[in-house]
Amino acid sequence: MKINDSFYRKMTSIQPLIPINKQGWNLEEIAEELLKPAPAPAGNAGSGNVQVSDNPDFWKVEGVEYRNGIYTVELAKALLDNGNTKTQDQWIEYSKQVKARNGFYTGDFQLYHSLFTALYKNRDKDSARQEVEEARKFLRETFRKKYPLTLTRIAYQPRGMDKIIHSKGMPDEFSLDVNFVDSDEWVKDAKNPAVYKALLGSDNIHEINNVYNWINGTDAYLYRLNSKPSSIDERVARFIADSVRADLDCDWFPRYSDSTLGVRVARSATM
Amino acid sequence: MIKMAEENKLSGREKVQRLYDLIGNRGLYVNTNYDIFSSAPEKVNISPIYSVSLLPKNSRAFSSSLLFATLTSLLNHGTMLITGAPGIGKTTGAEVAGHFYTGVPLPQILEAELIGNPQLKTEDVTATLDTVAMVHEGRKKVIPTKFLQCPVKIGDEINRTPSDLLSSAMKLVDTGKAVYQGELLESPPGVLFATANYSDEGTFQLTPPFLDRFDVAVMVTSPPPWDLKKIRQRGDEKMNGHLEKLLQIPEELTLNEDDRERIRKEISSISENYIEDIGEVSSFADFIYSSLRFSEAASDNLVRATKGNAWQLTQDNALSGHFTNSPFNYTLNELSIRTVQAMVRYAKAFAWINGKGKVELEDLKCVLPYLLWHKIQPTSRALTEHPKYANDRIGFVEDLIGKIETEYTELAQGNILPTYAVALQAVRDSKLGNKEFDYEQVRNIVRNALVKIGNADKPYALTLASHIASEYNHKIMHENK
Repeated sequence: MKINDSFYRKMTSIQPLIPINKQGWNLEEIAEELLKPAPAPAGNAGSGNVQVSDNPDFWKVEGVEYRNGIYTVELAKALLDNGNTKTQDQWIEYSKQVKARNGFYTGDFQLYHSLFTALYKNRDKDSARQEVEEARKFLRETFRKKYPLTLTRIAYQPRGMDKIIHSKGMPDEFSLDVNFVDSDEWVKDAKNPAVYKALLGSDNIHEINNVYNWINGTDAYLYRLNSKPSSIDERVARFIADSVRADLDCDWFPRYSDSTLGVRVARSATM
Repeated sequence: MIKMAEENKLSGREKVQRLYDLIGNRGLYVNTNYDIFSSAPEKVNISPIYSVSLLPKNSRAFSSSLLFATLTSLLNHGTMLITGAPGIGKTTGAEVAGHFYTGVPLPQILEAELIGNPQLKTEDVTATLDTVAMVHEGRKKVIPTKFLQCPVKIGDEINRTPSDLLSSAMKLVDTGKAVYQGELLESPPGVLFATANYSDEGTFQLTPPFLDRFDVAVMVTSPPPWDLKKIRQRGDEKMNGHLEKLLQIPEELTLNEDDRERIRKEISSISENYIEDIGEVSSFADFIYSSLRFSEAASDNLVRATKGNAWQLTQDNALSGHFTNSPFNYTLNELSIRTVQAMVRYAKAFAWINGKGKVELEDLKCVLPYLLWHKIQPTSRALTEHPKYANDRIGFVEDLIGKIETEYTELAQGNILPTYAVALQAVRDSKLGNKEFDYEQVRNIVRNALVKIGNADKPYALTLASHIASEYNHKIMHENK
């Protein structure tokens, strides 16, 4: 058989494996989303050369690996807005304003986890031991008494994958799709590491549990919606702890108010 | 007159449909255990376990054994395995179908028939040497067997011969070619039917590679009691019966080689529905292949994580993996390329015999159990969940296809496909709409798409992600040239 050009083109052209009904999807929007910096590779948050230093109002942690870069993250020693409580939407508005003035604002789950991991990994470093321990005590106290909420929101979907939206409402908002609905679980018994990769930027289950165990003295526990909702159900992610467990609570209602931790981020380098 | 005769001439399909009915009406192969329907039947529950099927208007019902004997007879080198209890017409059905659809006289078929036995030799299957020519003329002359020369080949009770002794016959089955004493022999196009009784003390286990050579397999059931009257009316050959008359093929229904060639062309040209160049039927067949191919037990390297590489640690003896609910957990082996090709071929043939201009997913789903049940080995988990699947392998495959279809629907309705489409398009065209992407942007899209698709945490997501990576790598290599 003579192989003509069109036959060869058909044989070698890139085609999907299954039919795709593109109606109802904005492919250009999806491409825009995919053009954003890639999420940090699994399990590498918090590694690298980290420096922790003390200031009157904040701890400064250099070398924090977050998303696709190395950042200097400052953690305020007091809760934002003097510990006042707000809904997530209100914290979004607050954060937009203070960020524009280079103030402390509310972070998302991935940013906080990257920061906690960096602190955890440097807990025994001579030059930073005291600062790190102070930060740990502050976090433990805050987790147990104030239940700080974050700018991470989970949009539970009635079908298909759920959407985890980080930096909700901020200019650098991004989202990740994952099958998030499932029973609550101890993080150490995680059924699906991809869930943690999307939520915290790391699927190193052992390390994740160790970080929260270090902060709170208990194992970490994931709280979430346990069955598919009939329509999209949005919930807020926050930290909450007691003497039994440290919860990654992804089941909190957007209409309720809580305090929040203040952070400030500056990019140091691209990974 | 000539014009009238032309107008009255039957099409190939009409001839085949009438021959199908005629074989039943003459009582030559009677079995009204209808188990295949051209349109989905209405199921009526008649007990807590059992239901019966009612045919929709303008539809056809078939007995799988005669239907597949018919379709297989029309293909080039078609192969069909017929299993069942002894004495229920497995061999007779094959002989009759072979005779009516190819026109080869029954005595010629019977002369060429191979009877399975433990001493079967290559010489019984392919050829012998002409010793007279060797002695008197001093030259080697090969004489092909009648089995090799006959367009209708029947291997009766094939599992009374060890599978390794049948290897030369099997090459012949597949390719129509055999080698004897260094000489290549070709068999005329035709069909091969092999019959096998269920295991008893005189049978050998048919090996998976041997079974894989059969495009299709049926489980023949004994005729229901209401068919016995028709069988009696056929006449009793032991009491001066008149089988010869019943075997006569009406002239207007005779299929010659031109008819069969035209039929194969018609079947081949039946198209499927396309969504943006992707065939609905063939892509579902590929999805089935992909769903059963994956094996966590085989390797942590995705390239080698296939059932074919799970040769020591299998789905049966490996520890529970990550994807515990996926369909691949229910089979020990994967599907061969031969099987994937047979899927679309038989789906088209089924659409053709039903007079359809297009092959649809329903056609494929109707024929699939008969293309797969003899090849797919259920895992112990499958048999633990449904012990009856040890007998009812067709039921097992129907259930398995249902599981795979559920995943297919989940994928089609989920939100990773658009990401997959965007990534592929970015790789293919380096642009989307009016927006052009440079090298770094394409790589970023691909990297993000891989992570996003991987987050679906399903084996099918691994396949889609691997496909994007493969196409991307291919493009990079091409650009390097």
